Amino acid sequence: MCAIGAASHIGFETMPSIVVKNLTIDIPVLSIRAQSLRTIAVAKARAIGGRIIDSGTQINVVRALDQISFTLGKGDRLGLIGSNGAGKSTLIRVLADIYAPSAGEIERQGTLIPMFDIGIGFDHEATGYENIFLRGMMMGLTRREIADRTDEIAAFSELGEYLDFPIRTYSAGMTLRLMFSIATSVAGDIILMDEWIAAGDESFQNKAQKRLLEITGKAGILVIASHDPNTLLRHCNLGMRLEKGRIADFGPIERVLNRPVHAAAE
Amino acid sequence: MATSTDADRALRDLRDVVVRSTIWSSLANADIRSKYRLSTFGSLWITMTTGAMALAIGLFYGQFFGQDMRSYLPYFTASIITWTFISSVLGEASLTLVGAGNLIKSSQMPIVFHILRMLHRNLIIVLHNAIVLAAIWPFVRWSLHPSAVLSLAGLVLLYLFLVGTSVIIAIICVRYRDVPPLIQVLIQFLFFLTPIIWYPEQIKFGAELLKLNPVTYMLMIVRDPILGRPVEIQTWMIAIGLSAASLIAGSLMYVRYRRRIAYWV
Repeated sequence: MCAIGAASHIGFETMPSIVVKNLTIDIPVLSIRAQSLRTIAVAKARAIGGRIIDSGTQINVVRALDQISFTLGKGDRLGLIGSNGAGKSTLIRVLADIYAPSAGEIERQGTLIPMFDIGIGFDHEATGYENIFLRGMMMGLTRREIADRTDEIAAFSELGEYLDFPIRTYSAGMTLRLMFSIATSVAGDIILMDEWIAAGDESFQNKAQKRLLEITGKAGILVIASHDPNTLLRHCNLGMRLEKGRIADFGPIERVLNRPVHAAAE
Repeated sequence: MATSTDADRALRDLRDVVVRSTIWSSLANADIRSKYRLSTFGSLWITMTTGAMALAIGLFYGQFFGQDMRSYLPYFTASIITWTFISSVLGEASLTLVGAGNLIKSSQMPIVFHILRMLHRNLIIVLHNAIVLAAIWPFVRWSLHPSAVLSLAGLVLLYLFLVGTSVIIAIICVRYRDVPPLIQVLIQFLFFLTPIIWYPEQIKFGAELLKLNPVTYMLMIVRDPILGRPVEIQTWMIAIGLSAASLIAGSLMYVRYRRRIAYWV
């Protein structure tokens, strides 16, 4: 299953695939008033018998994704393009099984590796090693799996003895090295990224890029949201332009990137 | 890995609570370790804090209830340890999902794990606090019966009761952000309505009303066996009923609202 997907294995070879049909995501935007039980209770009480006063308790809904359909198969590398708020990150999170569809459906085959927000869940008081364990647990790995990977993560991060120190003593770059090394220690068929991950100084940068290319190259499917055309051209073969939650364009990445925004919308 | 309904997903989470319990229990252990990392006594500070309070109140307050120190000190200590568990869990339940918001929106960890992590952290604290009770026994030497082990059964029941209750509170509080202060008020209210500093036998008026307080039963099944105080079979039955009801209600609520939590945080 996808929750804790990294650890679950499917007994037979499956072709990774993602099939999205008429996917719609409505995100409730709760005003301060709508988040208040008191306000809602008062509004309900007032509504009895009398006229309904605008109480500000309505829940506004933002349609973040609107009737999205597409299919990805083995070897597809999809780049998501669109202005801020177009729905790129939302789509990544739906594919990662975090947001449940309001309508429509998603079918996924393959183990899922989310590679966004890789710095969340770290404990700055805990040592590097403890954070490897902590983060591994959150990624759904077993103790054993974490133990098996720890040496490799430590070696890749090049943090050496620093891994025995609390990570609050690390520089920003060192922390990023650790986060990157942990996040990329798992393999999977479907990799989801919100912006290409970059980490560390120049020497680490090169190493990190090599590793990311290796991982994404091995993965059956890559979906990445990015604002950088060069990143997308380098790593993707397919492009999807999202506009206000709808697919404005979908096709080979060069075509999608080069077509002017308004022409694509027609 | 094909499509599954939201209910399947929620039920799978609930099954994983048992199957993958190492995840939330390890995270809880790490929380405790992290919190007391920089001090010499580490997590024993938990024990000392409770010990100081138990001594201060246990030694003197007995007079107000016409009890001598030898019986009041263990009574109060056992009471306050159990009550601290209950009240911390209920209080933290109201904040736990909001606090885990970033994790919920970025990881695939079952949402209910955040609640179990909080609960388990508090269980570790109870176990630390139990040391206080053990430490005062040589001085007071109340009679320990074999039935004292029933306190452990009581603790298991209380834990289950709190699992269900926490899920309910956590989900309500992530949707309605003005509820946590209300929970605090309720906890304070319950503190005075539950036989913690006073004895249930001393109630002359309103005893019937106090029987409506579910926390009383859940507290008594943990505290009373270890003190050698008799626990009526009826109390056990009610406690089992409450735990079952809370687990069922919590599960139903989780299955119903799980999909929305990521949108609410």
